[in-house]
Amino acid sequence: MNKLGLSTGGAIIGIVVAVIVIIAAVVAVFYLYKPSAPKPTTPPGFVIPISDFTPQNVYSPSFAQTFCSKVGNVTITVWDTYSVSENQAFNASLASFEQLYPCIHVEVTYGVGIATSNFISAAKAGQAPIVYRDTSDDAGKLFAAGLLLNLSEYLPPSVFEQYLPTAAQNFYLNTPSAHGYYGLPDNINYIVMFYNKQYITSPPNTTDQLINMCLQVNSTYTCGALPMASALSGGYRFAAWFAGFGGQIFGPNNMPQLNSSAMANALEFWYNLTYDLHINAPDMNPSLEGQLFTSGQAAIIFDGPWDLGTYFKALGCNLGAAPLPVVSQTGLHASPLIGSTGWVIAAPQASGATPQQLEAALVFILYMTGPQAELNLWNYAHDIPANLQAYNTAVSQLKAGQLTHRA
Amino acid sequence: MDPPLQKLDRVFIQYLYLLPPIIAIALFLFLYPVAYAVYISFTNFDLYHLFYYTFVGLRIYQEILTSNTFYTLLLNTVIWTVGSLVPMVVTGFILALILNQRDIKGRNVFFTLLLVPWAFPAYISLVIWYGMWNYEYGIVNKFLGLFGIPPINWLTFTNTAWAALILTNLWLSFPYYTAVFLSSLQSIPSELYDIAVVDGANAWHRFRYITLPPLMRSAIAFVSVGGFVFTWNNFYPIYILTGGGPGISTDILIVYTYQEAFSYGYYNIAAAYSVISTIILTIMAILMLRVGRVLEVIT
Repeated sequence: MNKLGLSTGGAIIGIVVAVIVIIAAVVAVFYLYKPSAPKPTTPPGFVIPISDFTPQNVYSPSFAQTFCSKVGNVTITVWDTYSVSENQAFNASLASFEQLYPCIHVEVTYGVGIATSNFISAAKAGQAPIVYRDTSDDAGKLFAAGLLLNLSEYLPPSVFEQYLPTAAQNFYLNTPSAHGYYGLPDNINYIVMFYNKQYITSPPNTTDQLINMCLQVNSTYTCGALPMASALSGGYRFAAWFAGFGGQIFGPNNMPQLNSSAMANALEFWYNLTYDLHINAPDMNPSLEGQLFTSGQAAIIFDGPWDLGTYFKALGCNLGAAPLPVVSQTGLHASPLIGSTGWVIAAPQASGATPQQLEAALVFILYMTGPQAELNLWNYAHDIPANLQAYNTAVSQLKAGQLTHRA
Repeated sequence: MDPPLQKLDRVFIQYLYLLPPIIAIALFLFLYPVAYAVYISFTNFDLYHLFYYTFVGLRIYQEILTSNTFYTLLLNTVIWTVGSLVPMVVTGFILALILNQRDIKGRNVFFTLLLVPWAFPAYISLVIWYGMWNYEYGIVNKFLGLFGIPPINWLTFTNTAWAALILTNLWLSFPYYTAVFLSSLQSIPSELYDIAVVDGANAWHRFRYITLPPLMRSAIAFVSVGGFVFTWNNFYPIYILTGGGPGISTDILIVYTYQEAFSYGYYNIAAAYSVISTIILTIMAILMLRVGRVLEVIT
């Protein structure tokens, strides 16, 4: 007998019973458990399942045929915010899209500047375009306001893996009120260093090298050539240097923390370059720096790939591009903000779109951010593709020195 | 019915046909936008409450009137309005006096040339002026350099930015003031001057006792009130040249209102700012109308 008054035999029987009960419970749970209802595979009113909306499918003639037979004729409205050269690429992609999907009629409004205020006004009236092209930061505001479709609820997760992770992430928001992907990127952009090989043979890796090279340009080309023309107006362009001096725009609780020694050092660095060393032209703006660079009057500028085509046309083989240099004082790279432009779909409340129009819109934005359409943008306008496949092709072209200008 | 009464009836009915479009225009083009702006200024209507918004009472007004930003903007608006108006009126007046000289040759040519800044699209002019104020390449600094004056970073510092803004606005606006003053001067009968000369009045006396009194009564008062209202709400020069910067040191109520609405998506705050600005402007205009007795002159 033990302290509880049980005999050894009784204890054994108790253990055996307990084991049997546990096994019975596990078996019962195994057979009786039914997983909770899965997320609907087809959104309300849709006739195409979510899993079918993939970049591979939308380029497939058999899918297009199935789509048209199930959905029927449908019209979608599109606000096009491309530049002139980008529009050449867009029109080429649009023509092939309409050939593949004769049932989708695309009503394009050309020449809409990227201006969310126009979209907001139209959305308030319930007349926003069904499809719109916007920058990732501007569109984020629209998504937070509930004016854009949450694509995470309409596309399979694998779709977002077709793009450069940073580009896809640019169109992702995670706030208490809005959570998910709200657009598909058609390019990726950030500030790089463009230089004229006539003055700078190889790009500087550090800011010390940059200063020395610029001083060299100053002493060699006493008239007609500025070492640098950098428009640092606005936070977007300056952010890279702030980061290079160790600054972080947002601190704990997502509050901005700009009042820091990193900011003071970054400002001092540019002040010295401009007013003490006189190697940077003062009072620059993006338009002026572009003019100076294309006319061969500036050796280095810091600008984005959206002007790559213009610079390449002006300088040809003399054009060089490189990442921003490492800040010598800190050993950190000047890291630019990375943004994207891409396609978004208006929420039905903002556009009045029917489920079939939404289906057509999903097909349209998948097509326009697919490898073929993004390569068109690369070839015509030198937009850096966000689509992985198109990006790899573009990079291999660059490495092979095959950059060409298509007027 | 008597024929005259019949005619009156017919006229009345004809006017009755005009009533619906007049009411429609008054309602939709004037009253509705104003009433809607006033209404949303009492709500939380912004980008994040675009479809569903609620009444918040006077909260927005309280926030605005207790913020330092509002008083900075108000002071800037006064600086901008008075600072622009005084040189514009003086310049317009002097040029009108010069052009009104009877013995001046080619007056029409000069007058036409003076109208060019006014006739040229203001937006384009402002973009050109933006380039002219540039530190490195602007013609203003190049010109000053001829006299050994070092270049000035005009739009980067508050005081020089104000100077640049007011000078640009002067260039844009003086033709209007010249035209108004000139037309007013030409309405003064030339015989008065002839008689004054016979009576031995010198140039100053002719100006003081013949030219100035009718101008003071009509043109100067009218132009001052109209110019005050227009300049108070003159949006483009500041928006294009400085964007209200550096910081908000050259920002005025109308530009800030636009920025609140279209940069930040706070339509309710923008509406409240515009209501406050309109109230202040209305009070100022009434005071000026009373002091200048413009309405008496017009009626």
